[in-house]
Amino acid sequence: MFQKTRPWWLGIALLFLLPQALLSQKSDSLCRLQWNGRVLDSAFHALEGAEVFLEEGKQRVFTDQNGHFAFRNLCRGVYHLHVSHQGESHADLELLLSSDTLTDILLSHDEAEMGTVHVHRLRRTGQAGAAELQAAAHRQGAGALAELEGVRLLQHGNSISKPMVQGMWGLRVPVFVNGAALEGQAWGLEHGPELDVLGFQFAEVLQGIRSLTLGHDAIGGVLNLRTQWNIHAGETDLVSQSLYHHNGRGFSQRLALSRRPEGGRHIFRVQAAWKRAGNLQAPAYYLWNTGSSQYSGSAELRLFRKRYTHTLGFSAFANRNGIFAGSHVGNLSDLKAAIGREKPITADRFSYAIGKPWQQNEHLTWQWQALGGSNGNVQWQSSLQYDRRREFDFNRRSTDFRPQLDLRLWAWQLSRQSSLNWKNMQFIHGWQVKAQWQEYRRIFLVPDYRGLQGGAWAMLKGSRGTWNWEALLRADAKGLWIEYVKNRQAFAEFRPFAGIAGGMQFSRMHGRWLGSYSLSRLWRNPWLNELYSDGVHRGTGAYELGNVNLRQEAAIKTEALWLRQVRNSETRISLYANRVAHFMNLEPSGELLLTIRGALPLFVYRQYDAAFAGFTFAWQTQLETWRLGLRAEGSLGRNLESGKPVPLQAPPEVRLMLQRRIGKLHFTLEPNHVFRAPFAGQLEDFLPPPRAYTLLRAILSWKTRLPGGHDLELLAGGDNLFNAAYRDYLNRFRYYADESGRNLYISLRVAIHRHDHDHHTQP
Amino acid sequence: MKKQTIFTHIGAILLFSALPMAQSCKDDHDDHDHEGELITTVQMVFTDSATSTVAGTFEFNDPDGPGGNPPQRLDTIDLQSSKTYLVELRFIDASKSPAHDITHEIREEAKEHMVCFTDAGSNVTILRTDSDGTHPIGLSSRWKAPELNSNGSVKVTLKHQPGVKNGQCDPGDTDVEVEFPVRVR
Repeated sequence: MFQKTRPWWLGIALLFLLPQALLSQKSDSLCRLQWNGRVLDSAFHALEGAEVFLEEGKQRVFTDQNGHFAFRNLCRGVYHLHVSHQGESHADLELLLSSDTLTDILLSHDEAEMGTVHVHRLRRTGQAGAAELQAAAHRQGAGALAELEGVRLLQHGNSISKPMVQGMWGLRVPVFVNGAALEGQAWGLEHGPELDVLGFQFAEVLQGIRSLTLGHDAIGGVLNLRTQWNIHAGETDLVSQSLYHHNGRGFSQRLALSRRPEGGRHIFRVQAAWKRAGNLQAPAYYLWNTGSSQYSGSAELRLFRKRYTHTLGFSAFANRNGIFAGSHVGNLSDLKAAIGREKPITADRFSYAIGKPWQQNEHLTWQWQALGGSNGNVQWQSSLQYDRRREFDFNRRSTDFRPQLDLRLWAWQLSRQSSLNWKNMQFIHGWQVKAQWQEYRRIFLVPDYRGLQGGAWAMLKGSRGTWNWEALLRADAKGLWIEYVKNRQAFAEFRPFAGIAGGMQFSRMHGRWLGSYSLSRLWRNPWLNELYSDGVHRGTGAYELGNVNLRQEAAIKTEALWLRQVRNSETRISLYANRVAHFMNLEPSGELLLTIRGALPLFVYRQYDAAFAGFTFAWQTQLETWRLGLRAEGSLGRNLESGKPVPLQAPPEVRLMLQRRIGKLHFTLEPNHVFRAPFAGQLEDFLPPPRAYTLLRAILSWKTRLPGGHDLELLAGGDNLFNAAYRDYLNRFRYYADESGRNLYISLRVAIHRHDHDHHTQP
Repeated sequence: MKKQTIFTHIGAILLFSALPMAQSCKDDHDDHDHEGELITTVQMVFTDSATSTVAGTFEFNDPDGPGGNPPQRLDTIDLQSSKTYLVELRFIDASKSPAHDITHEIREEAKEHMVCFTDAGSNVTILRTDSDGTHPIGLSSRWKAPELNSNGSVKVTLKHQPGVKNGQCDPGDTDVEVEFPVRVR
């Protein structure tokens, strides 16, 4: 395998060595770039007089009456922008500047503070584009990520959800947290990401070849979450956010304290959050054992030094999710009986108790980052992560609290990235190394393993007139040492993997429109569950069987984006078409396996060539105090060998948004319609795809400034306001029960700001 | 002062991060087994109710549990027409050494378990004779063979019904489901 790929390795070496030799002389001839932009408030009004500070070069400008700002004669490289308006609201922005860039910055108090995800779709040209804010604190688990354009949720019950992008999920959509890959059990359908999404202030979907800088296997895309550092010198901020939602009688409390002393040489931040909810309620009944609890906390320190800005952080996350009791089946007869019931046979009442079966996760992260170097173009990142996932099944002894499944993972990673400029081009390169160690206890699901992997990449960027181009190549190799005991026999084997990934991208910015096209190749090695699964999956009443002969997946991705901004309107159309050779998927075999538990449907990991295509259309406009928006998404997957659709593709969805601002009040109405999954009826399944459904969301928010410069925000809203009974095709528990019904919520956020200067001048 | 503050912050981070570490290390030495709960064997002991002698022991045995190797043994239950039998059921985990009898655990948690019998063509009349105080359990039962010869089967299902046991077989999930061929002569 390694011999076969040797020419590629030589190519990579040449790619690294030649430009290094050519670029050894620093050139300043490129320092003619412009960074223009607009600063807008949360209602998309231009903000005049906003202070825009460019950290590199220490340039400070103020926006004009149209909210415009401009920096000229900039060199290519990484830049950091701090924006504030009348000392009230702040935003931080990091940008890799390679060509003249236009940026819209949405400035709001929400953006700077916890509890709100600043939803941001990265343009394929590397520009920071328009942003939108969504209050998403009431969503369960990783549900807030569904607010991102292009992201759908694959659910396992009501509290476990994982993001789905371009019809892909799990290992094909890795999650990165402040530059480090989140290490957990991403492969499993019933495993949500082990993080508190609302602890971050920035979420984005990385597509195109930019995702290749982070890994070779992001066939769907990369979900990138970041914390933002937006606090002025001499400032201390304390933010409290409390939330109650009536469905599940859930409540959460979040506290964050940030401090940047006078002189501004460091920032310290601590954050803690706690969430608790009981049984959720479908329109006609309670969903027994769907309560959840979650704890998270972090402490971070950012040190500004002459050559580097260092960030040290530690975060901890723990949760426990009850698994809906009505989904716990033993065999095909149980499954058929459960599907045939209008109402599940479970207790129909409210309780906060989380009983068996439940899932429990703990995740710890220690992280270090350094950004700087002689030209501010070097970035180091390292993290150590510990992840433990336990599943507590029903068992004979109700007093036995030993898990049936216990997976422990340690992972360490180190990466470096730097850039060099030469004439009209920029050369960016980086490398990553990673080590993993995992063991299982109790029942066998996936084997123990030790993994070691390394990868290097190089990217060339350039521009000519209104055209920009980028090309990237990366090479990765990994080895997995696998051990397991099954049927009292010990097995050990070594599996090496290696591959080349790369791509290119062209974009053109002309007047008020931008178009881009990218073509990339990615690969993914089969993972342990795909190779070695061999057992009963109680949650779905199925027997799952891996295949040790699976080969590496190889994907060719094409993506196109067209964007047009006219006055107060923006239209975005993105299209993708992906072809995946040797696509791996768990599918029903059509056979029944006779076991001591009765007959179980046999699911096997199959491999075939598949094609995926989809679109996103988004439009929004601002009319005085009104804001209107429309978003439509759709995707399809097809098995090219059988001609059948690929299971679990997101049905088309249309979402409308109507927002009205009256003084300090914002009222939002958001109906969304999800169509019946097209073609899914052709698939073998226990139940045909559910019918289409329409939901309505309404949110009313009110913000005010308290004496002393503190902020208060009240938000009241409701999801599924008509209490529609519906089932979602992407929820594996659709066989057993309806989705949860109407959910009303209210939140209160108080932000207390203290300035050292004010404090000293007080009598 | 500033340096001292920074070191205080770093110290706080380390302390903060060390606490969960201590927690995660604490149970590092717990069960290192690779075993889970498993039932591999269903055993039925038939006693002639008239003579109190054991008339036969019939068994289903799949030592490695679901998947892997196919079941090793599935006996045909031979009964004499018109006779009545007292039947005791045993559920065993034979994957461990020594084999672990799970029956007494099922009896201890009788309010969460019930054995269901489904006749298909054998015409045997089955009555559960034990109770959790409210509903039958099914570990002990009385089987009345028909007067005429027959060939059929009886499906034995152990249902796990925590919190939802109502005397019916619908609620809960299935721990064991074995269909024994039955011959009445």
